[in-house]
Amino acid sequence: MSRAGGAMAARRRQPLRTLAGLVAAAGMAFAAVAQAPPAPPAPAPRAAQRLLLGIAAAGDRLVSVGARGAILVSSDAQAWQEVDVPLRSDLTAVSFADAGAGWAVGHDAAILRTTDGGRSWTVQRYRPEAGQPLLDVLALDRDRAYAVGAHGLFLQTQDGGAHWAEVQAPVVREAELNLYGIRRLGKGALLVFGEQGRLAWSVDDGRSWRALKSPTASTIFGAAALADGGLLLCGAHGNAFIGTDPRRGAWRKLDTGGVQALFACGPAGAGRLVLLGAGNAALLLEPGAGTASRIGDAEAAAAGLDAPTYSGFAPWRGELVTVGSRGVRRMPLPAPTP
Amino acid sequence: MSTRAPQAAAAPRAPPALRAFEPLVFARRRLVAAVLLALTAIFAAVAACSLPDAGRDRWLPGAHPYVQADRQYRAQFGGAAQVQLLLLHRQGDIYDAGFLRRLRQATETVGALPDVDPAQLHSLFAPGLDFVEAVEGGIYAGPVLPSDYPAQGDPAPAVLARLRSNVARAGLVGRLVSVDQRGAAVLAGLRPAGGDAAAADLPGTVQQIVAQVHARLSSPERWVFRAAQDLVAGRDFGLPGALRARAGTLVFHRGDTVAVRYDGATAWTRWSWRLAVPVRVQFADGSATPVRMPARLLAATGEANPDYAPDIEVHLSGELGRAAGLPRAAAEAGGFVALLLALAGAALWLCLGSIRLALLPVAAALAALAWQLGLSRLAAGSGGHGGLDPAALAPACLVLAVSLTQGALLAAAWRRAIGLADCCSFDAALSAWRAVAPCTLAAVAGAALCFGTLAAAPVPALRTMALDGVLGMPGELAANLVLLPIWLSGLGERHARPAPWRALAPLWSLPAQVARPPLAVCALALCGAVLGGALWQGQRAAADEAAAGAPELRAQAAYNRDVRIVAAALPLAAAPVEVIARTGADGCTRREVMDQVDGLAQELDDTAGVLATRALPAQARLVNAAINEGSPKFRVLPRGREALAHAVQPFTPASGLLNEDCSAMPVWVFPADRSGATVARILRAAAAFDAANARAFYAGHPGANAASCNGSPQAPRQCPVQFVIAGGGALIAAADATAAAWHCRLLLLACLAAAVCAGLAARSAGGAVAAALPPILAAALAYALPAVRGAGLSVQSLPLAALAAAVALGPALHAQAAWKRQRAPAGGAVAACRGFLDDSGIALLLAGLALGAGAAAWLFSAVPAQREFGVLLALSAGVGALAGLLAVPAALSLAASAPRPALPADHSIGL
Repeated sequence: MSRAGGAMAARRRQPLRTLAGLVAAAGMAFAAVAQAPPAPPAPAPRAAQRLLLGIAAAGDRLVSVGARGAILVSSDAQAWQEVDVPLRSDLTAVSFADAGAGWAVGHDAAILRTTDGGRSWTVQRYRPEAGQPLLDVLALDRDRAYAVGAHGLFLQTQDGGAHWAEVQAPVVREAELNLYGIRRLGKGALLVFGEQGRLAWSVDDGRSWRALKSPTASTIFGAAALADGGLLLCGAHGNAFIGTDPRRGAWRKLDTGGVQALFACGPAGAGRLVLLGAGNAALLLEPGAGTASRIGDAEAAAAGLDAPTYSGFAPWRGELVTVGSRGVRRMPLPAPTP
Repeated sequence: MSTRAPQAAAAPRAPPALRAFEPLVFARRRLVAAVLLALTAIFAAVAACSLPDAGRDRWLPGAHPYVQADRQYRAQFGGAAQVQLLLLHRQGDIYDAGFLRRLRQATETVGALPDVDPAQLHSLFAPGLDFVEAVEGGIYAGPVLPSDYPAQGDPAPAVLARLRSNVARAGLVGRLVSVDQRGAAVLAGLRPAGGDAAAADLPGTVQQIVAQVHARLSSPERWVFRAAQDLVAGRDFGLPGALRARAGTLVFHRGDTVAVRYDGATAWTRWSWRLAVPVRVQFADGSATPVRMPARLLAATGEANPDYAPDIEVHLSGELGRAAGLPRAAAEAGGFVALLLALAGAALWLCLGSIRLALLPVAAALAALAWQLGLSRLAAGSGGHGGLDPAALAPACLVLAVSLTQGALLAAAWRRAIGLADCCSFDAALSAWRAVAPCTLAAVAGAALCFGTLAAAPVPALRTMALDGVLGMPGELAANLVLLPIWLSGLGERHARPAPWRALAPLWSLPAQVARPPLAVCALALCGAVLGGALWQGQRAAADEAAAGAPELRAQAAYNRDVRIVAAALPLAAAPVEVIARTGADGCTRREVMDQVDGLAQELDDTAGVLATRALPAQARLVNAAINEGSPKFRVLPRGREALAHAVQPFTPASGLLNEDCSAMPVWVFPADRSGATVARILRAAAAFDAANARAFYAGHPGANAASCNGSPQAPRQCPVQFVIAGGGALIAAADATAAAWHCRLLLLACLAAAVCAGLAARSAGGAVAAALPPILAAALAYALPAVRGAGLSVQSLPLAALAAAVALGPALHAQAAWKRQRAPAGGAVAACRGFLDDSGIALLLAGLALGAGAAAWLFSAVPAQREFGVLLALSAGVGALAGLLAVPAALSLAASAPRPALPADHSIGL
């Protein structure tokens, strides 16, 4: 849309440019004709349509992070503004403690901190030589946050990010598996998940960690706490599970109707669940239903390396705002079935 | 014609410099004519061996960085020499058994052509077309064409459905399958012969595609040729030198099918098959050769074409496709030369009253043209171009124009000499020669000088043109100063009939008033106004930014229409711009390098009008994610060298994303439209990124030495990535920039050359101004022509000003000389002008009319360059004649302070 608008604007400017060229040429008889035409208007950046990996709400605005250090801010999920970021590492996740304070993490073990709701960022940590990307971040409050990453990387801060220390959690870290995410389950309970179905939880705000019996041996990419105290997991091969009582290992497998990896899942309001993943997979699960239905822009499921892939989402004023390989997308939800 | 020169007592004496040549022309006329005619025949034979050569390279400024980068990398990435064949299904999409059968057939036919490189053949049915997707533990590559797709017969609906999903997986929509999925493409590149793709037979390949794919689908009929007898190589048909050893081999038995042709839609083609049929002969050892098989050895039958598919459209685009339109355009050019000569002859006949007399200047012009073409071919040598470029007609136009003008003036002078002195033909020829030769010599030399100024522009085709123009001199001199006078001296006096327009002579008193000082000032002011207007208009000329396709063909030409259709259906099939990142060896395994290339791709992606970019870093990101279970959080360029090497490992140079040692990586840019404005925007964005990237690199690497990085072809490791621009669209932009830079300079050079010639010939300030006025006017009008006609300024329009000046110079010199002879002391300026017009008016008008009438025929050409030359020739001829008749006397009557004594009347050259 914006591209077509740009082209039209360029066409409208044509007579002006011709006139300018004429005046210049008439003035300087010999050399003027060799000069290049004046520069066109600066192109609208397409950052909102490029690879974006994480999104989070900060008060009344949304903040999204992605490739080449891109951080975009929007107050209406339509117009996105790119903010200045002091590094170019690919950013994978963002999390806010409140409307002002938050962190973004990414490759090169980069950690960025904001205190103004995402308008400005400072680098707290940057270790490109380690080769360990951070894959998720969880802000508990203005001072405390956790970050997880590849090869068992697990960091925490207690002082607003002035110091980041490794978390001592052998049960989580000893196998050096990729840790894809960390979630708060409520009442001081935290969950870490990742490669080979690895699940670990803490009930004391992260001081001690215990392994949780996993329903799968393949990678878990996403998880979410449910309102009824249950747990939703999603991951490779279209796997999705609901844990009615995760501590006792009571899991129910959901029928997602496909083998595409699911990278993000969570509640979408009114008791419904949303599951997003590779191959343009966007699924909605009505409460009590065993089978997921496809939502979104109704594009056919696609495969291939470059197929549209969702990486995360944020519920936003009754709809979903998703991020992924094609950037930000607003996804209206169908009316709940009575 | 007598061999002994009779005494021409009545004839004036020639200037001393020319006197020595008189015996050469007139003493042994039969011998001289025979020698010159023999030379003409030889040159004509040499010229006939030239083939159409539409090499776009010749029109490119060779020193331009875009052009140099393109030449350096064209072989490595094979960007330019691609044919894009699009089959469009009129009813329904491509997932139709009948359509796919035709697509497979077209793919096999194109793939079997001798000059097509199998490695550069892309189609749904080309081998090795895979899709890649992420699976557990890595990536999986599978064939796009399902393995159970039947080799014969129709595929099941389930197979077609799988093909459809594989096409989506492989991301082929927009590249091999049209955006609306109604069409599918066959993309092919030429086999690099010794690393030089240009060596392959480009027009031949295109002709075969047109004949065997296009015609096969679109012709309801086909023609089968069977051997009427046993056919033995060497006995029944000739073999090329390399296959002489196969002579005596029985190739076809009686009744064997020798050829099946589908391209017999035109009566002309079918008629040509009555003489010989183009056939491909294949020997048992696999060697093959095209042969023209005599028709008497074959039995032809016409039958219904089983492959006729009226529901499939075929469109041909690409560099190769462009070659399809040009041979026809070259043949057309030949036709227009013939038409020009015929119309000029008719105009001369009308004015001179004798068809034989009228034919002589035409024959002389033809001889001059043969000399010029032959000499150009010889000068180019066997390895050079020397082909007939349909866009490079200016030298031929120049030779015809100069030769026809001078010939018409000589013929008119001859007739007047007979009429005045009632002398014999020989004396009249000698007298006319003596009167005209000095001016003709000056005009020919002046034209060569004006046209030779083209050599200043840094474009090989213009330099060749300038040389060709200079090489036209010997022919023009031989034809008009030797052959034509000899022919005239042998022509019967009865052909000098009284002028049909003699009764109109009193009318000259009206234009003669121009010699009155107020009117003369007005006339000169008018000339000045025209000159100023033309210069102002000419400044407005800009490159035609909306043009797409071959600018040398008409916008509605079938090829240009195809280009638009194919570009819309397959926006990702061919990139008009590629920005090549030069990195030093193994650049693709260094994160810092890949980051810079990735940054450029993103910058270009952000540029308005860009649809998509394709570059190695983006692909490596996808592979790295696939290696990491497809997680988008790993769509990054890994920092470790080994991990990065893993990510780029699936890509070979055949992907077009890197070269053999990974020292160069192109970023292919696919714009939404191929207009010059969009391409220019892309080029500016790329150049700006290159500069900013270098600045950022040096800021971050204080130890790096900018001086040692610049200019080295392969940047060493402590240097920023160098981005160089190449690709067809960039080449057009480079040519346009050259055209803009030289448009005005070439005008000034041509005007300067004309002024110098006029000054040398007139030897007086007034005379020089008067004689220089018409060529300068004509050149200025030519300079304004692209802007006035609304056509874009291109390199092809650069020779126009020089051509116009060269053509208009001749009549101006003649007019100035005639005025000088005519100027009488008594009766004042008006009477002098009347006398001048009486004597030379008709001759000058005649020369202009002859040339203008002929040039008007070119307006119907399909090639805009030819039409432009037509307009220009007519314009220059008109301006030359009118300005010669009015502006020259006006200027001279004002300039002349002291009247000169009258010269004898028989000096005049008029009717």
